[in-house]
Amino acid sequence: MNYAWYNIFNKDEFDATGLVSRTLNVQLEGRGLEKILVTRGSTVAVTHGGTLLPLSFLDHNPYVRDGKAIYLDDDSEVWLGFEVPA
Amino acid sequence: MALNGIAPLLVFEFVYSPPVFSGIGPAERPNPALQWLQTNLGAIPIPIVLSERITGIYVDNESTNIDIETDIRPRYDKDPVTGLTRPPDINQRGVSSVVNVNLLASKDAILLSVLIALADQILAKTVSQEYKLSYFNGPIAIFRGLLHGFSTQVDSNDDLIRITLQIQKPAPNAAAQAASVAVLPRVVGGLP
Repeated sequence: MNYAWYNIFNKDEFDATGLVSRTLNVQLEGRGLEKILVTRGSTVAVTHGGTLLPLSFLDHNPYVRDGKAIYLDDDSEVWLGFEVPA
Repeated sequence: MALNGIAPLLVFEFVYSPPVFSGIGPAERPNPALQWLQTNLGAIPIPIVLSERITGIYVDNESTNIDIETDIRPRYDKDPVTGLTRPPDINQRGVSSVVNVNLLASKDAILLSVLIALADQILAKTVSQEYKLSYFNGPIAIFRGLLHGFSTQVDSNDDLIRITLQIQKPAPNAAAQAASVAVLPRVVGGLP
């Protein structure tokens, strides 16, 4: 299963802001303008198109749900993935 | 005045969009030449001359309005060199560029019903944008714009109908504007 990955933000930088939530308006190559909500609760989560994707949810990294995936790499970069045909 | 000084001109154009045949075999698809014609010819333009003498509808006044939204986002991070909080991010977005045309028509104007009927037709085609609206009056020329608003008002003390027509100018550089937002490149691969 292939995914189109986009590096949407850095978790360390988001933690440093102390913000509870932040809306990212980004232009994703091949998808167009997208609105992504980043929230902080017990863990940092990303909401895209009504799908909540918590980072490292239940130690699943990447965490996959509804054809989307969220991945936190070793450099604290957060990657949002969309399932694409192989 | 458009039409070589005769009168302002409003042109409705309803665009035909051929169906997508991605799910069926090549043998069942229509003739590609016919599809090309349907796609590229579009529909026949329907002009309405806004002249009191010809159609009974005339331009009372018109105005243009450009609306821009400015979004100022304060930043919380500090410059490591100066130690000062970084200046806010300022993003601007074009909201609309609208030409407002106020028209007057007598209740028995020949083309008033046609104008209202054509505006009604647009309502069903707003999402697909399978229509275009052009307007020419002196220095104001809109080619293939979009309808922003349409209203009519009848008063009891006269036999005039006041029509407000708002036309949104098309944005040929919309793609360039969208690109000014951070563009994130795509990397295709499996799950790590």
